[in-house]
Amino acid sequence: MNKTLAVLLAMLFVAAAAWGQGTQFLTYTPNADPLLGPHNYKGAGCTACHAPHGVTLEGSTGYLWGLSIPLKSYTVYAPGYPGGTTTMNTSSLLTQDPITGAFTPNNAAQVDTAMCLSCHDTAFSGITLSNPNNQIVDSNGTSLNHNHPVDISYPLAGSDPTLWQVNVASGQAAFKDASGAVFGYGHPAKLFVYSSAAYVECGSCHNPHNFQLTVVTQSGNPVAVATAHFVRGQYDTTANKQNFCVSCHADKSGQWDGQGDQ
Amino acid sequence: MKKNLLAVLILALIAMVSATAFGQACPGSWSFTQNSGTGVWSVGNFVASGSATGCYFAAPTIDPTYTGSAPPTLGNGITTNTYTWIYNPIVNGFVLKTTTTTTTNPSFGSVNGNGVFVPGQPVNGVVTFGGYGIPTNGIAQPTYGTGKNGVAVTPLGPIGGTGWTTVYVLNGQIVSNSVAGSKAVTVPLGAVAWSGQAYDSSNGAAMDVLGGHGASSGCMNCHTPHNSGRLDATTPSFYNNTLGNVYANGPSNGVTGTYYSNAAAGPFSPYAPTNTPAFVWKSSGYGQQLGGSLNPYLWNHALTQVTYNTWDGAASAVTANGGSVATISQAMLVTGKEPVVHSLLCLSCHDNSMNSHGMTNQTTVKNGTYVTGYTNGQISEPGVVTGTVASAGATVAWGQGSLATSHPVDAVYPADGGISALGGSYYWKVTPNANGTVTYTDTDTNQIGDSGFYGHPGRLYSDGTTAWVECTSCHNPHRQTSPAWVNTTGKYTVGAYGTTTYYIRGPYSTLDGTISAGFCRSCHYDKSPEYVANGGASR
Repeated sequence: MNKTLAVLLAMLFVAAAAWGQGTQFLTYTPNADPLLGPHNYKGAGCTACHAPHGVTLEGSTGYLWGLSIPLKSYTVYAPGYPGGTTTMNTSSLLTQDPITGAFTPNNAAQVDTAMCLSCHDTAFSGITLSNPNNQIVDSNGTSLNHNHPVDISYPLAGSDPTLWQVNVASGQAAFKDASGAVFGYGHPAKLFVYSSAAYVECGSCHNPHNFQLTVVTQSGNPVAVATAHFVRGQYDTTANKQNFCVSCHADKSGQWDGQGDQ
Repeated sequence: MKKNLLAVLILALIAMVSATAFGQACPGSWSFTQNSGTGVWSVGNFVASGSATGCYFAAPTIDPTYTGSAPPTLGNGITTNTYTWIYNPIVNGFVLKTTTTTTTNPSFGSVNGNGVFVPGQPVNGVVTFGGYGIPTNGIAQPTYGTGKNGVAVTPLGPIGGTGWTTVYVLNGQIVSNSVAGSKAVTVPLGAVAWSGQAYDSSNGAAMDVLGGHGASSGCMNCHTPHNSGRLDATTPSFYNNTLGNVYANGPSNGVTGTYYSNAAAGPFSPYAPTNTPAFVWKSSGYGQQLGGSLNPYLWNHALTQVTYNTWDGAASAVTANGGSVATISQAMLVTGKEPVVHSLLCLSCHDNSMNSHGMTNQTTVKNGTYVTGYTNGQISEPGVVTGTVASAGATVAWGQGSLATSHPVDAVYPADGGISALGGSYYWKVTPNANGTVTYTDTDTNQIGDSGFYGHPGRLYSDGTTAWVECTSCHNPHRQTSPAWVNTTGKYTVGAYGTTTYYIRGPYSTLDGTISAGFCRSCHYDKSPEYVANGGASR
C-alpha cells in the first residue's frame, strides 16, 4: 500500500458520513498477493481456505480448515511395479462429530490430500480454477491415477536404496541428509506421518502458501528461492526442476552412491 | 474493426453524467460485443478502472436495429442509460450494488417476502442481498441459496462479486455491513433484527465505532459505570448452568444444586470456587461480576461458569467433541493479569447460554432455549453432552461449550517465535512484559510487503512471563470498522491504513486478500513476505 492509497483510504473514511458524496477508490487486485498467488481465491486471503471460527475439521490435524471435503473414493496411481491403480477413500478418512457436524480426521497424513480436493476436485467444489490443468481429477470425477501418486507410503530408512533415506521420530519425518550436506539442493519435500509411517501427499511437493517464493535449506543454510506452481523447493531453471524431483528420488541424482545409505 | 468478428471486445467509455449530491459516475467502461451474423451489438460487463463508492454507472440499452461497425454510443446505438448505483457508506472495501433505475437516484431498499431485493427507502432492519464486488470481467456470479424459512433468494441482477452482503439499516441509514464469503446467508424477511438505537458520537457518522457492540445501551452493553465489584442487584436472578433456566429468586421447586447468593462481594470470591457451581448469579444490569484487580473492566455481565474445550494445537490431541484437551474457565482467573479474562469476557455474550440479550447477527438464543448446530455470532458450539446423540444435528443444550473448532484462544504465543523446521521462527518474536502487555521486538523498518507496513496490530497478553492469544488478540470490541493500533513508530494508527470488519484489530478486507492476509501475517511470520525476504531467518 502506498502513501497515496493511504490518503485515499482516509478520505474514504471521512466520506463515509456523507454517504457517497464523492468518488473514492480502493485497489482491488485479485491474486496479487506475492505468496498466496491464486490461492488468494477471490481475494479472500487466508480465509479462502482457513476459518478462524467454525472449522470443518476438528482437532489438531484440522488445520482450521474452512472448506468442505469431498467424501468419496478416488482411484489413485499405485507406485512401483507393475504399477496400476489403487483407491483412496476419503469417506473413511473422517469421523463426523454428531454434535458440531465437523469432522475429525482419522488419518493425519491423508487429510492433507483431502483438503486440496476441497477445491481441486472441481466436480465437487464447483469452482473454476484459474488454470484448467489444475483440475487434477479426471472428468469422471474420481480418477487421480493420471497424477503422481498421493497417499502412498515413503519407505523408511533402509528399505529402499533408490530413495533418500527418511527417519520418522516424534511424529515428524526427516531426511537423513536433512542439511543437504550430500545433496546440496536440499530436501524440501515434506512427508506426512501417520501411525509412524511417512506418506507422500499433495503437500509433499506443494506448499499452498508459497506460490513463487519459498524458503528452503540448501547446503545446510536457509535461503529464499524462486519456485513455481507452489512447489516446495527451488523450481525455476530446468536443472532445478529436476533437482526437486531427485530430492526424493536419489537414484536419479548425480549424488547417489548406489548404496542407499544417504 | 471488422463487423463479422465474433465476440470482439471493445471498450467504450461511458458518457459522463453530471455529478449529483449522491455521487458521480464510476470510473470504467462497458464492453460491447458484436454478433458476427446479425451485426447486432450486445452489452457485456462493466469494467471498472478502480473500485469506487457512492458512484453510479450507466448500463446502456442497445438499439437492436443498430448494426454499425463502430461500438455504440449514447444516441448512436444506445437508446437509454440505466443508472446503476454502487454504494459503500461504511467504506470497508465493499462496493455494493443496489438496483437499477432509469430515472432518479435510487436508494437502498429491502428484501421482500420472496427474498427479492426491492429498491426503496430502507427501514430499520437487516437487508441481505447478493452481488457485491468490483464489476469486472472474469468474476464468477455468486451462488445464491435459500433464505430463511426456505424462501428462495433471488438476486436482482448482480454485476459481479462473490457472495452476499448483509447491510444493517438504522433509521434509514446503512450503519454496518458484513460479508459472508461465498455462501448464502439467511434473509430476515422483514424482521427488524437491529432494534437498538445506536449511539452516535462520531460527528454525524451513521454508526458509532462500537458497531453492534454499542446497540441498545452503548458502553453499558458491557460495562457498568457504578457498583463495580458489587453484587447488589435489586432483582437478582440465578442461572442454571445445566438446564439453562433462570430463576427469579434462586432455584426452587425441588431444583437442587450449589448456588451463590448475591450478598457476597469481592472480586471473584463467589466465583473462584473449588467446585463448579450449578447455579450462578446472573447479571440483570445492576451490577457486575468482576471486581478487585479486574475492576478496570467494570464488567456488566455475569461470567460464564462453563468450562470450554479449546483448540490447543497439540499433535496428539485428536479426541472426540472438538479434538482438544485444553480448556478455559473462570477458575483460571486468579490474578488481574490473567490473560484468559480477554476471552471469558467475550463469552459473557457470545456464548448464548449466558447471553441476556442475544446476538444481533443471527438467531438469539436465550436461557433455556435449545438450539441446533452452530449459528453465526455464537462462538461456542453446542458442546459435550452425556449419553448418546442419536444423529447428526440432534438438538443439544448449550452450556458446556466447545471452542475447539475455532482459532486457538488462551493459547501460548511463543516469545521466541518458535523454531521452524528450517531453523527460523514461525512467529514474530515478542517480549512479555510484567505489566500485562506484550511487545513485538521486531524493529526492522526496512520491511517489505504488506505485513511489514502493517506493523503488528494483533494484541497479545502477558501474565508476566508468557504471551497469550485471546479473543481480543484479533478483535477489538470497541472498533467495528476503524482499527486503531500502535504502529512501528510507537504511535496509534487510526484508520490511516484502511478500514476493517468483524472488529478485527487491523485493516481487513473481505475482498482484498492481501490486506486480510496481512493481518494474519502480523503474527504468522512464516507465512509473510518478510519471512521469504529474510531467507527464513527469525525476526
